Amino acid sequence: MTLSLTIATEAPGLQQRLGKTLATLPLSYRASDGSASASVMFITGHADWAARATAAIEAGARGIIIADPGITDADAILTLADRAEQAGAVVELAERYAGDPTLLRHRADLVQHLAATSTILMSQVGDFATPADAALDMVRTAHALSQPLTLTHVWQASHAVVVRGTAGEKLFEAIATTGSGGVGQRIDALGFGRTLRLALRGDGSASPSDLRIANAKGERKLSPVYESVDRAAWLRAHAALDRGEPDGQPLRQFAADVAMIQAL
Amino acid sequence: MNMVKPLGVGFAGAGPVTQAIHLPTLAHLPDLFTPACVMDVNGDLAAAVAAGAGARSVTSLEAMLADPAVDVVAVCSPQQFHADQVIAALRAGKKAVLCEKPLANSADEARAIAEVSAETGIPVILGAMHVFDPAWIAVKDMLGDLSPRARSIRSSIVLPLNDRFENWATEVTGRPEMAFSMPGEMTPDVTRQMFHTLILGLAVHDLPLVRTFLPDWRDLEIWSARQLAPFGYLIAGHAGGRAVQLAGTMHGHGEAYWDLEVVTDTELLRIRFTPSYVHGGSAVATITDASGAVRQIGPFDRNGYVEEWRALHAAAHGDQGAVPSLDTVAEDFDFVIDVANKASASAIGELS
Repeated sequence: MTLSLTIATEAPGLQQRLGKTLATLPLSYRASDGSASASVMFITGHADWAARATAAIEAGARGIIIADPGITDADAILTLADRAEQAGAVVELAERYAGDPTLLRHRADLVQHLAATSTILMSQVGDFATPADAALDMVRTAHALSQPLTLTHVWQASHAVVVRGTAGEKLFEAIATTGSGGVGQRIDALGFGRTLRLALRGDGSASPSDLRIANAKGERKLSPVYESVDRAAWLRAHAALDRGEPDGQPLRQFAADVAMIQAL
Repeated sequence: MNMVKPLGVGFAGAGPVTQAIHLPTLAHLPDLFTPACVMDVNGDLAAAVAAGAGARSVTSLEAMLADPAVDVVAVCSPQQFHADQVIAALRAGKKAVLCEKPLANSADEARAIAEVSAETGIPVILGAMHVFDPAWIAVKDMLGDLSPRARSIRSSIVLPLNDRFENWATEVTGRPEMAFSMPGEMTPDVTRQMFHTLILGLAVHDLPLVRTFLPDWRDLEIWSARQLAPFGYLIAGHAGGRAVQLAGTMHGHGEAYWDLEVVTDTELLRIRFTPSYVHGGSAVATITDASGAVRQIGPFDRNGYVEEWRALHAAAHGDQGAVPSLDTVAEDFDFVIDVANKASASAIGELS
């Protein structure tokens, strides 16, 4: 039988988002009634999210889900990873692009095809708090696709940021532009024998992203997943708590990504 | 009923561009044009191409320009001959000249063409099919609103090797060996030549469109320019606060992705062009707004090749407004050369 976890949010702004996801997981989660501390906390990824997550664990939370984690102090993230492991707590990241359910469903297939490409281009449109946050979104997607990314340059225009680097032997370049039309992240991976075109929605909805692989046989569209980023993250958190196996490694990778961007 | 006699076309150069682009395009416009003469220094090639087109063949430009059946000239020769041949056609008093891209080898040559065109009053148009694409033309009507708000511009050209589409367009005869092959070592000279070849040969199609969104294009600064394997370019820069990314590469599979994207504060404009050579209709433009609503423009059944020849016909009959002014074309060329020079300088700087 599914263990039902209580969940709450520390931020009024997340309440509606929590309610929407809760409605899709009525057996796995139920809203905390406030009579006792929730077993899982849904935390905004703004500013000092790592410190707030650590505080929630200290207060007794067994699980933490971070909504759209952004740039924060890398050392605070490492502290969170250590503290979570010590306490047996699970920390799950609900990342708008890197956590895309369609992307994650096909990750193994995509990684295999990416091995035959030589260039990765990204283009992202949407609002971002800082250029570093935009760069982080793009770096995180590259890592979600198991690309060993190293950034070497960053440039800024009035409403855009461009980052450049390598992913192993591949060239990597990404551009993020602030804008409200056509929001999303697009990844074009180019190789002589195949091209991958991934259009990630990033809008938090259950509308699926569009992933396509073209090779000599033609273009193939990968099957869509009609699930929101939050729902997928909540399920991962639930499964990890069921297993009783907290893993701090994803947080440490996130901290490394933040540190790489901040070092530019 | 249109009783105007079709204009006779003389082709300078009988290679794949003449065979696979322009002769098949003229077959769509029999009321407006008829192939009259094919010139190539390779007499056998000229004769073979001319025979298929029902035209006569010659081996010198002078002989072709002396042919009274040639009303307009299409310069489809290697680019080092473009300026001299265009100017010779203007001096010969033809009704109009279509010059394949690039217009010239240098800004000085482009200005010389503009001066002789102005002096003779004979129009010259550049064979730039995207400039004449009906979807782009429709989008241009909205640029008064979109262009001032552009924040980033991205040109992405990911195409199969040319022969795939050439072979669908026609049966090419006398195909030359591939003019560009990857060198073993990227010296500064090789790097400079490679970027110029790629920018003037591939990026040139979209750079006039990119320039439309860059009012401060003369201030272009290149941040980064890298070669893409096996051959291609990846260039990033900015002008007037707007970011620009240009990517172009060719590959061995069949899908063609030829996109121009412009991000404004509230819209994403994306234009997907059809591949070169084939008559696959126009581009399709989409404008996505903040609500997620998508407005689609096109596809139209006509493509840029047909439209550039229609424009040439109108210009040959005195409608100068049918084609971009040569000042505009020359400024487009200045931009192309500027991109090539700055990108190659950036790439060379990374060699050391």
